Amino acid sequence: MTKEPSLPILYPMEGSAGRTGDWRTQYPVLDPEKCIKCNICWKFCPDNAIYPADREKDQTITYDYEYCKGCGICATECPKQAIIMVNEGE
Amino acid sequence: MVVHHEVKSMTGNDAASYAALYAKPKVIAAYPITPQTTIVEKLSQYVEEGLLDAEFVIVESEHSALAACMGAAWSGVRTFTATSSQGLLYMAENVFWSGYGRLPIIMPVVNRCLAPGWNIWPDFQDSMAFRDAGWIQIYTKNNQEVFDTTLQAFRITESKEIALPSMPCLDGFIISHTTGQVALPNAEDSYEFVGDYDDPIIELDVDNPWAYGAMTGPDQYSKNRRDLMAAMERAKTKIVDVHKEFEERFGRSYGNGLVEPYGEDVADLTIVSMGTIGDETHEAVDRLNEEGMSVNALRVRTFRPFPTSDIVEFAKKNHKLLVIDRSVSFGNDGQLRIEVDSALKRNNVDTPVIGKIMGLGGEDVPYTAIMNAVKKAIKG
Repeated sequence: MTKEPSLPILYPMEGSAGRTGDWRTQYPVLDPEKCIKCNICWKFCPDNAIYPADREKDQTITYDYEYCKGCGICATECPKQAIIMVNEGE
Repeated sequence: MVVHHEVKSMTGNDAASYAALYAKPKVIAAYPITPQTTIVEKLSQYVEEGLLDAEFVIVESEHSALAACMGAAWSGVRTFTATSSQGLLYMAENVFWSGYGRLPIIMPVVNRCLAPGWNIWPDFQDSMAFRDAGWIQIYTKNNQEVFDTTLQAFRITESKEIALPSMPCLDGFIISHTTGQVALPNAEDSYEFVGDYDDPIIELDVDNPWAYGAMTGPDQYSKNRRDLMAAMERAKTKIVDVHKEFEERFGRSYGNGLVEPYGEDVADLTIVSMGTIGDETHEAVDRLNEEGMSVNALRVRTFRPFPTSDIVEFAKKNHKLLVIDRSVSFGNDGQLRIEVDSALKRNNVDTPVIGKIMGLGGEDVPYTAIMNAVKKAIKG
């Protein structure tokens, strides 16, 4: 049998770097009243830590706080200022 | 059965181009300005004329040239480029990246010395700087061997058990720009020898995406490097096997593919060298033996992987080695001498080794100079 080379290759998987939510100093909080379910935050999230909104089911976005690093990109990108960053422990 | 050949006169660069043309790479990338060679210039012409169905990517630097080849290799196609001296240095980061990344790329290196001063003549300082980059390095002695080695390199590099990029090395000017006879097998026979690259080492798959070379912890990293060490070891056998199959098919050989001995099995002194000096050595050996001395030669063809056991076995039965280097590890000695010393020491062989650095910056190394070096070494 031919030996396969050991390549520096990684396949996507959930939490391959551990529970990165632990790294957070701030966490995002959504105001569901302001959310227009445009999913711009979901597109920008670098950690795939946002579950998208569904207009047909009238569902807003939700967060996976296990993996959200608290970078705040979603809050910056939200066109309706529906997301605010809150310090951990507050 | 030995296939039909057509003898043509061509430069060493053209010989490398022919091997690439016949192996049908799908992607060739090059920065088309000096120190690039006519190897890729010829290939761009073949693509333009429709003789070669390949994507010829003109990039803005050698660093990008090899990066483009890496991208092509990831997509799972046969990939080729060529470079020389300063161009190879400019590629540096990606040379290591592709070596440690096990990417199947064939890249002839025209061995030209490094600046300053600016000089277009040969020495091995450029490729020697990449001795530890995880590439197979095979040093050739003439135009014919450039063609043969480049063709063989595809087979070695693209096999999954090896998965290491290859640098066929050719002395600048003496091989690269000098016209000589090359017996060319026809294109079909050459391609049949190389074969399709249909079981890629790695292949882009949009349905099963991957990331390459991302953050890797010490455990996996060291596992990858140890696998590279083992692959280099396996490559010795592979080089010999491919070389043997080439010989059966095309009727030409260079020793066992790793080292090429010349003259009697046993002599008072053995000249160990690489590249065109290895060829010039034959004349020196013949004349010295006519003068009543006992001299033979061993040309190291494959520098990476290093043919330790072949050199040790040869040294065991001989009495003294004169190792000629065409490059220097400043602060120590010629790289070949250092490695021959180390190979003998580790295998408890006490045959004396004398080192001689010759031919830097294309300094002429005629057989007379080699003969003088031998006479001194025998006395010394």
